[in-house]
Amino acid sequence: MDKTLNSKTKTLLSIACIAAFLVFVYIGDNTIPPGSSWKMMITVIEKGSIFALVAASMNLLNGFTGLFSLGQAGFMLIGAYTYAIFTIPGKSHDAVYQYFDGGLIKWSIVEILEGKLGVLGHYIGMFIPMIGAGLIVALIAFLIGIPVLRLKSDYLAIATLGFAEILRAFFQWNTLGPITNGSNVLRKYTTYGNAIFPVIIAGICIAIIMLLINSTYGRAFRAIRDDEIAAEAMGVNLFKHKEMSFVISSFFAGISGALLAMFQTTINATPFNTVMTYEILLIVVIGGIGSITGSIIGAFLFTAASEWWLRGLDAGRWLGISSSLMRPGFRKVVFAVLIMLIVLFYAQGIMGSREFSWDRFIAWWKNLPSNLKSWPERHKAKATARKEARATKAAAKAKAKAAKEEGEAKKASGEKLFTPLPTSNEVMVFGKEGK
Amino acid sequence: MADKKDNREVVLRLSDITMQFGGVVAVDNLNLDVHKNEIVGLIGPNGAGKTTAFNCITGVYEPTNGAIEINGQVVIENYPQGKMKDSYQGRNQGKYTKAITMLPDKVTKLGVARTFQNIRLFKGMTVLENVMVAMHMNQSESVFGATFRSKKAREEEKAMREEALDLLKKVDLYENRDDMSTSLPYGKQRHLEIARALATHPSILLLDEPAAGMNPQESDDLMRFIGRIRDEFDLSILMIEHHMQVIMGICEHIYVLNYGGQIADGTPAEIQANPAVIEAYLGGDE
Repeated sequence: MDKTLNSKTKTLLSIACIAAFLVFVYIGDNTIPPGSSWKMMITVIEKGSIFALVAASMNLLNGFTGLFSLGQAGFMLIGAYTYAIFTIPGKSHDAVYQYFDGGLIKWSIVEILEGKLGVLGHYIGMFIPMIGAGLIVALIAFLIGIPVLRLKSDYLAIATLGFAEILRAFFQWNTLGPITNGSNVLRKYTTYGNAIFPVIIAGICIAIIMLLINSTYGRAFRAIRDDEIAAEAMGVNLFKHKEMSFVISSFFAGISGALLAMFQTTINATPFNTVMTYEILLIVVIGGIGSITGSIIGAFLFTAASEWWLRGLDAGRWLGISSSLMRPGFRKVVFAVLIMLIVLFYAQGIMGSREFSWDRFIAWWKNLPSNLKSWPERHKAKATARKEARATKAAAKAKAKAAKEEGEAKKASGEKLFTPLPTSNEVMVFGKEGK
Repeated sequence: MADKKDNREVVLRLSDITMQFGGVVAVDNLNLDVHKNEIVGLIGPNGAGKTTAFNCITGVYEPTNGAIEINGQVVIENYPQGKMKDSYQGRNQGKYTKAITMLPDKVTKLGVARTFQNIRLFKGMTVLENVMVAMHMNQSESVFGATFRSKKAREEEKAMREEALDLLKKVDLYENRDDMSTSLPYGKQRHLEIARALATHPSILLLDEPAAGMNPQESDDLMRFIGRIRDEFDLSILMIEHHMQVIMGICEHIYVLNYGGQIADGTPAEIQANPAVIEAYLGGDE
C-alpha cells in the first residue's frame, strides 16, 4: 500500500476528527430537544462508547491474549455497584435504602469533596469512586485469576461465566442489604450532566488499552495467543502475563461498569447476566477479534441497531412497513437472524485483525467509485464462472455415470474388472544379504 | 564408548535422566555432556525419546529421576515420587533425593534456547516482532511504564529494535523483516526460529530437527549456517537430526538413543562403525 500522508498530517487529522466529534456530541446533547427522535442518536453515542470500552477490554483478553473469558458482565456489575454505593447523597439514603434503615454508608464521596473544593470537588468526587471501582474489580480479578487462569480455552470460559453468575446472586443477597440494597435498585447517585463525559472517559481508557497492546508487553500477550509453548520457550512467563492481561482487562471493565451506572441512573444486579456477556462478545466478534477499532465500530453499530434503527420492529411499524408480526420482542428475532448471517458469512468481522489507518481508509475511499462502477461487471463475471462450474460438474457427473454403466455392462458380461492380487506363493521374499 | 577426555568446561550435563509416562519409559538413564563451543548430535530411530529428552532439559516435562546441570549448577533434579514410586522401572533409584523443578521460561533465562520440531512461530506477527518477543524477558520496565511510554521504555524499545534488526541481518532475514512470519518460505521459517532463539542471548542452543524437510542443498546451507552462528554467538549446540549427512558433517560428538536407552556415544567415525548403532538403524540378524 502506498503512503498517502505523512505521519504529522495523519496525527493532525485524527485529532481534528476526534475534536469535531466531541464538539458535535456536546452541542448535540445541549440543543436537541428531549422529544426529538434524533435524541436517540446521543443516547446511542453514550451507550455505544461505554460498550466500546468494555468490548475493547474483552478484546484485550480474547483477541490479544487468547484467553476465552466470559466474566466481563460480572466485573461490570462490581464496578457499577462500587460507584453507585459511594456516590448516593447523604439525604437520599433513607429513600434509597428504605428497607434497610437508610443503609450502612451514610455519606457520599462527591458530597464531601464538593463541600471542600466546590465544582472541582464534584468532578474529583466522581473520579475517585470510578477509579476505585476499577481498582476493586482489578483486585478481585487478581484473586480469581490465580486458580482460574490455569485452565485452558473452554474451561476458562465456563469458570469465568460461572463466577459472573455467582456475583450477580451475591449482590442480591439480602444480608448484604445495608450496602447493596439487596435485590432493590440503587438510585439517586451522582451522574454526569453531558453525553461528552462517557465519551471522553471511554476514549482515554481505550487509548490506554491500545498503548498497552503496542508496547513490549502487548507483544508478549500476542505471543501467548499465537503459541503458548513457543512463548514460554522464549522466556515469557505465562502465568504472570496472563494474570496481567486479566487484571488490566477487568480494571477497564470496572470503569465501564461505573459509566454504565451513570448512564442508566438506576442500577440493579439483574441485567448483568449472561445475555449481557454475550452482547459484549457479539460486539467483539462483529468488529473483529483482535482489532480495537473493530470493537469500537462494532459497539456503535450494535447499540444503534438495538436501541434506534430496529426499534420500530417492536412498535409495529418499521421503514413504513407494518405487520402483525412486529410486536414487542420481534426486534430480538431479527437481531438473532442478523447475527447468524454475520457469523456464517462474515466471520472475520468488520476489521478482521487490522486496525484503522488513514492510508487504508484513503485508498478505500479512492477506489470506492471504480469498485462501485465495476460491480455489475464483477457480478456478471462471477455469474459466468458459477455457470461454467455448474456445466463442468454436470459433464463430470455424466462421464462418471457413463463409466459406471460401462462397468455394470462388463460385469454383467462376466469380464474381469481388476487384476487379482498375487497370492502368497507367487510373491518372492528378498533374502538378507549375507555379511 | 569414547575414552578421550575433553578438557573443555561442561556447560550442560544430564545425569541418569529418566522420563516415565505411566508404564512407558520414554527416556531411560540418559547421560549426556555438552562442552563449551561443542556441537553435539542426538540421534536415534523414531520414538527413541530424543524430543522427550529436549523437553526435560527445557522444563516442559519434569524428569522422573535424574538431574540436569546447566553451567555447573543443578537446575532440575527429581526422584520417583507418589504413584511413580511403585511403578518406577529405571535404575538409580535413591541416588537423587532433591526435587528441583524449573519452568521453561526460567530455563530460557539461564541461557538455554530451543527450536521446535514442527515450526512454532508466532503466526499473527511480523518477522521483526517474532524476534522482539524473545527479547521481552530482558527488559526491566514495568507494564505501567511501558504503556505510558516512559523514557526508559522508549530507550529499551529502541535498543531492542536495533538489536533485533542486527540479528536479522546476521541470519539473512533483514529483507523480510516486515513480512508476516507465516508468509516466509519453509527454509526461512527455520532460520527465523533459530534467530528467535538467538535473541534470548543463549549460551546453549537446542535444535530439534533443524534440517527436517530440507533437500540436500538446503541442508548443506544449514550446516554451514549452524557452524557460523556457533562461532559468531559463542554457542554450544545440542541438536536432534535425522539427516546423517548433517549430523556426521558438523557434530563433534554423537549420542545414540534407541527405545529410550542410550546405546552408544562417540565421534562420528566411531558411531558409523558401532555395530549396536547399525543394528538399531538397519535391523540386526535374526
